[in-house]
Amino acid sequence: MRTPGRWRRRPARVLSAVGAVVVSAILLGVLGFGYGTIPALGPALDPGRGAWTSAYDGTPVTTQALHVPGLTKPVTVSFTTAGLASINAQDEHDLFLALGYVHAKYRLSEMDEERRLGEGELAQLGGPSDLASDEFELRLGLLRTAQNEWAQTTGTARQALIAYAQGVNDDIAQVRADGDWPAVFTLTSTYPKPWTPVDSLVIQGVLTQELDYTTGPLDYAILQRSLGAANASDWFPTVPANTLSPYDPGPYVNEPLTPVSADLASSVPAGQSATTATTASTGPTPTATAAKSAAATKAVTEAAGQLLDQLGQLPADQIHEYPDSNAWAVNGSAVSGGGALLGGDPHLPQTLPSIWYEVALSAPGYQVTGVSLPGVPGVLLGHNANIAWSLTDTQDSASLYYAEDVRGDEYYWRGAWRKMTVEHYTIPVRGAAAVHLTVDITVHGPIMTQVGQKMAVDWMGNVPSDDLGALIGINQATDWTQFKAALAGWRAPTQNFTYADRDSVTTGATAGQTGNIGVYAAGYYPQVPSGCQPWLPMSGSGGCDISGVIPYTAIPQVYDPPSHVVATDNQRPVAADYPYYVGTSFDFYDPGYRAAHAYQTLGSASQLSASDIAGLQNNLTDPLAAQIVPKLLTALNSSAGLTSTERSALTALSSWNDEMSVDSTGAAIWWTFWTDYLSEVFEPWWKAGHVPVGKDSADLAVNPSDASLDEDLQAWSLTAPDNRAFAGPSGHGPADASAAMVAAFGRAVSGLSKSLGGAPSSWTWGRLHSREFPAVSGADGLGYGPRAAGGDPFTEDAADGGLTATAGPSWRMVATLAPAAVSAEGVYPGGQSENPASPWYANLIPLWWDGQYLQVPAPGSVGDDVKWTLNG
Amino acid sequence: MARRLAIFAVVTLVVAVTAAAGLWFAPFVAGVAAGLLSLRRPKAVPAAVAGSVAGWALPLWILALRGLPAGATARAIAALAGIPPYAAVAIVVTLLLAALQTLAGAWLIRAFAPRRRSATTDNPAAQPDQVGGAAPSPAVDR
Repeated sequence: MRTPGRWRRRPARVLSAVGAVVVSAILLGVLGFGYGTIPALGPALDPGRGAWTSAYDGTPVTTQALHVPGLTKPVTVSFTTAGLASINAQDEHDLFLALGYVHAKYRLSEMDEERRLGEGELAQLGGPSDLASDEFELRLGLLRTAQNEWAQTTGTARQALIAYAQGVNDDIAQVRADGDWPAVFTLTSTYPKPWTPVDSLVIQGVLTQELDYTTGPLDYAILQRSLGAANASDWFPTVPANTLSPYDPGPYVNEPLTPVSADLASSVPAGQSATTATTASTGPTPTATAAKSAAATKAVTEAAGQLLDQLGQLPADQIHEYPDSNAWAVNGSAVSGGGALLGGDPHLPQTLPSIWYEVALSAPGYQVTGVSLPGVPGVLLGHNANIAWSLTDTQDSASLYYAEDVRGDEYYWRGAWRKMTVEHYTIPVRGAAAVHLTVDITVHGPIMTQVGQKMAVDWMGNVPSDDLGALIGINQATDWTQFKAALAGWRAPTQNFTYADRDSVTTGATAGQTGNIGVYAAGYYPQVPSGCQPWLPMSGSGGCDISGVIPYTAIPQVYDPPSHVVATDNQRPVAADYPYYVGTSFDFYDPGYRAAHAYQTLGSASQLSASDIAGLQNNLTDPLAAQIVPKLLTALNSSAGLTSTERSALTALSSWNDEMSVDSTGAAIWWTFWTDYLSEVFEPWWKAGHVPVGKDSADLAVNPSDASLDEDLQAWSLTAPDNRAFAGPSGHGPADASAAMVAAFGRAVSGLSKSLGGAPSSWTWGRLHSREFPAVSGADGLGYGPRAAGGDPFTEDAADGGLTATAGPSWRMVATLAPAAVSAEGVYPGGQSENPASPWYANLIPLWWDGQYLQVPAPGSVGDDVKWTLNG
Repeated sequence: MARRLAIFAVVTLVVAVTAAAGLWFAPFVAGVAAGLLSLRRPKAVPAAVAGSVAGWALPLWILALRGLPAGATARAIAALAGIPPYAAVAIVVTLLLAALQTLAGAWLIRAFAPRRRSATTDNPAAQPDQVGGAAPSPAVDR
């Protein structure tokens, strides 16, 4: 018989036993299998086998021999003390295989994340927060396009992709055997699947998307509906009023368009066709299709707003935002000692690790050096023994939107109802159930909108493009003819390929000297029939389909101009009389301030050297300020009633040298003024029109990142100070530009007084402005900065993304093309390794920050620090 | 004291070696063993917890001793795991997992194992509250 005390104790014991079982089960379960987005922390934090072992990969590399299956002959990989790699192989197969191996050694998690992004598998790694990205990418079709490209890839490019994939997989196999995974894999218990050639093409597609996919027509439709057609047309014109310094000023040839198939960019899977695989059926003709433009309808703007909302949830940098790259070349009398010089600094999101991996590649018949894209074989920007090249984005209109008439699973096109192609996807989501996605595809491309008007995007990035074949051709080209020929297969993204060589000049005043220069803007420029408005969503009934692309011989280009200077800074490449459509001012074309500044600086110089080009890349002069500040000073000096603080600010601005340096007071006042000046003039219109800025603040808000508004206000301030826009929609706003300037200056000084306090002399630009290089993983603490920095979006050393800039020169290179040889120096803000514990994680940032460069390893060179020998 | 030191040393060694083999649950097993042992020697559990923590700390210490960037790796782990990006945080969390496993293992055993009787029980004549087996003799921690 049990005692009362024992009865009292039993419930406690039962509770304890149940608690012990439950706690142990939960603890072991969570540690062993994870829960939701919580990873399996047991194996992840096991100090002997978990994420801690990534420390081994963070040590300085040592000289060693490595077994790399698939190599046919030994390959050497050497590294400089800074981590710059040189790969020397005995044939191209081994060269590309070794490149894949080295890329994976140093950037495996970056490569895996990029392919996941493009293939719609980010949520498997990051959980539900990445689902919007996956759905968007699977709709847009990077994976379908990559698969189509792979089906069409032949020759050297195909062999390169196969060899490269094997190299990546060799590294993955080694890591799997050793267990020394990059920490992100261990922490998520999600390990990379084998690499395939399609993965490389997807990564190529991710960069294409970043450079080429835009929502311009959607934003334009919203602006037109909010502001009215007349204002939209005035303020976002096809050709802006300011001077743009085109590098191809004409004369132009007007040749017939190159015909293309209607389903050019449909991204329909290989083996199907959006035009022939459909089933025509009878039915009523939809009335909406009669209109060539569908822009002004409420349904269109609703659908556009929904899609913009969705895009707003994507990780930063997936959509093209900022037009700020530089590439210049000079030759002839401009160059000290003869020959040519080429400077290139692509302005892209600046991240850790960087988008770039610097490498010299050497094999018989293949000698090239520069920066490569981890995940893709070849060198994207660099030089070989004869030529050097760099790229800037062309910024043309490459995303056309079509309002489709949809009835069930059919859409109306060219007089008949046709079946849409339907693709089904299952998206794995970390910590949640998988999500099923259905994508409808018309002849124009995938349906991107989910509410209101169904709209398909006809995006040139979905045109299968032999970019890799072109890249390999460029890597091996020896002259301009070969260079252009290599680009014949390049479809997207449209790029200004800036070129220089050490060949003899055959024409012009410098004939007989060496060093040719040029620009060729390769890619597909879609054209639609007259009367259609490609800057707005168009009817999908067939009347506004792409009628062809600009012929290869007529695309923007220049070669050995008499000025001895070519400069591509994302400005509109052609003048107003160019006979083809290349987009409006709203298509991200840079306002041209940097281009004008580069032409002025390089054109007026003589005896230029590499250091001069480097100096220009790091230049902080704001060319717009040089034009506007004198007007502002005039307006202020004739204005009565300035406060003492305003007079002090005026004094600081009067002595300013237009440089956006970190310790400049004038820079802080100027930028705040320009921002407020834009607001003073345009905000009343935006408020009156109820522009839904929240849908896409980057493109719809009034701020200096809107190139069209910058161009408008620049032109009005200089030449049309009584433009009707100053008075505002009420007609009672500032009387003219001077009045608006004075008002904006007052707002700027008041705002700075509140935010920074003290006297105007203490308002330095560095207190307002900084740069930050966030981690690709998004992890706090693995990035760099924010750190006070100079520059703004208009300076050659561009800083974009707001007052905490996250985009800018992602790589700076200066190539010297002397008669005897080509050499280059370069630097990027980051390091060769993605491992935060590695000494090569961020070691190049101090150099980049101080405007210094390192010698780019010559092809065939052997690094001075460490050498690996790779054997098959 | 000597026995506790011995328990600590054995657990440290076993947990460290098994961690290198990927047996991340070894601290839990150590806790189970300590729980069984604690039926006779109550202070075995604290010694085992300390041993588990030391057993997981040892590989980290060796990483640092070998010149590997343990601190930077800890910081990266913390950042990637979404916790405050400081090296100490990752280290503390890691060692805490070892300690929690050991405590859970020990608790599981003690919750089911027969209770040790004390000499001042309410009813000295009562049978021990146990699941089979003879009543244990009073434990004496020597």
